Amino acid sequence: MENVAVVGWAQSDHRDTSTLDTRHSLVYKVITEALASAGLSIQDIDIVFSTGSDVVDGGCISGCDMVGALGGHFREESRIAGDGLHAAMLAQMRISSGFYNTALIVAYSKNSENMSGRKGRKMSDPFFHRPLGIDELVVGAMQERAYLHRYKIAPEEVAGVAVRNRKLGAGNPHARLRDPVTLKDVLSSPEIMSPIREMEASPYSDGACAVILAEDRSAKSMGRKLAWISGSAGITASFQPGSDVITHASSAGKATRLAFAAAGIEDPSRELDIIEAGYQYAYQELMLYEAAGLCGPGEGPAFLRAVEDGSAGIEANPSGGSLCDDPRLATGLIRLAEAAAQVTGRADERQVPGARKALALVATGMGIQCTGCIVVER
Amino acid sequence: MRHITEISSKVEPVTFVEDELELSFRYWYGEHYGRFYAELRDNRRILGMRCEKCGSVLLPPRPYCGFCHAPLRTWVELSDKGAVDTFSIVHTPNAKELIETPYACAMIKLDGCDVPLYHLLGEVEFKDILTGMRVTAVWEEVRKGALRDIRYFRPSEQRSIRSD
Repeated sequence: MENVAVVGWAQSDHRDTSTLDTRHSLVYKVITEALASAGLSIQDIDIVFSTGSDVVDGGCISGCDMVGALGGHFREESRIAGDGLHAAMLAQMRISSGFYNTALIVAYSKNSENMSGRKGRKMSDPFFHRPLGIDELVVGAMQERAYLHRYKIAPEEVAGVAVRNRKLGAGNPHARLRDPVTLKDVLSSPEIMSPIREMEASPYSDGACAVILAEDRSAKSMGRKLAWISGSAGITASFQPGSDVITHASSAGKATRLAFAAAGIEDPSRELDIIEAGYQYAYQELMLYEAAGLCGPGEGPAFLRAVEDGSAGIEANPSGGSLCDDPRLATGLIRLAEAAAQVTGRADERQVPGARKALALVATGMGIQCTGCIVVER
Repeated sequence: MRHITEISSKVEPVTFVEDELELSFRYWYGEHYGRFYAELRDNRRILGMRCEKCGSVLLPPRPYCGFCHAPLRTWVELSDKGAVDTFSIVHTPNAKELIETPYACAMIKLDGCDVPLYHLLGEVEFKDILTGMRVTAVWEEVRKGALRDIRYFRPSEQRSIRSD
């Protein structure tokens, strides 16, 4: 099996609305930048993977008219329904096979153009869930309540996640929300679905991300520091949202266990330098730390305090994460780009000194039942 | 062909185009949902299925087990009473045609069932809703074969206090 490295990446400046760009020009810009960052041209790319949402785009197989912008004509090109991080895993497998040298992965969202309200309901089944209006926000709210109830976690601990991420996001030029907020700000922001408050929910944004992967020899010939993929996994749990199930992120638990095993990681809290986690609601960050084995069940808040005071020996979401911008379906791929930037020392103002090993993770769907994760290291 | 060296910056570009897609569906219930909704309508009964392989009792009835993927064949009648597993209060409507806000919703563990039922709570102040609270289905008199044939679930205790 060929080793695979992340060799180039770029992301847009994420906004609530990107009025000057069509989705085509939005992705063309990040692709051009990502190719430049890898020192490659589109002719060097063997495979193109893209992710986007037909519902957000308002088109059937909406990827079809993106192929030109993606540089996908007369190349192997395919599209997946899900976050770009999952597409990156498919690209990694293709390259590992030894039949392909390079892959371009592109994810985008122009949510501002879709005026038809909350998209989540369109994801639930029409027979049993849609008639009562269930969607990811409703499930998220019930999941948070169950999680807080089970482990006696105070709402302030969840609000603290938002405060911390917004502080970090202030140093990220790509972030949409770059103004720090206080605990009081978060706790007095409107309750959009109790107990979830507005500032504890990721802001659905417009944005795009492109990442380039390459096999061993091509990557090494580039003559620069590389972010090698040492483990990856994607898991979807069944949607049976009882409190015994939804108070721990079982898909994230299994996905990280598989990825860590592949990467030879036995103690993630000691061996990882960085975790970049994408999700929709603040409490989920705490649950994801627990699921990834960085701390025990219900210990997410204590772990976050240890991250904050430096005693955890790991940095969480140095980019500010998805609470500062959430171009849905690009959010996870952005985590991979951030993780690769960190371990290669190219993360600019948000660089964590000495970072060598990072986990990029994205948890999506109702009650975060779907998780993809990739470990990258120098 | 004339080469344009400069495009006037005084002219504002045309900004956007509006569009509307009409999407309408008729989803067929199939045998399992079809029976489930007929029983709600005709007999006020909530039907689930038991997995003979892993022993789970599942809702809604489907031809396969959500836990172990075995085929399901055994229908069971579930209680219309249970306990609130977790809940929320909905303030912002999800879609225009749905339920009047604000309302309380919950995952309800029906007695004997391994999968909670998502439904609404009624006859209770929001501040009085608790995790673990016992609830009972309130059925509509006129039923159409839909989830709303159960109007909502109400606290079991409240009724007994009232009837005293």
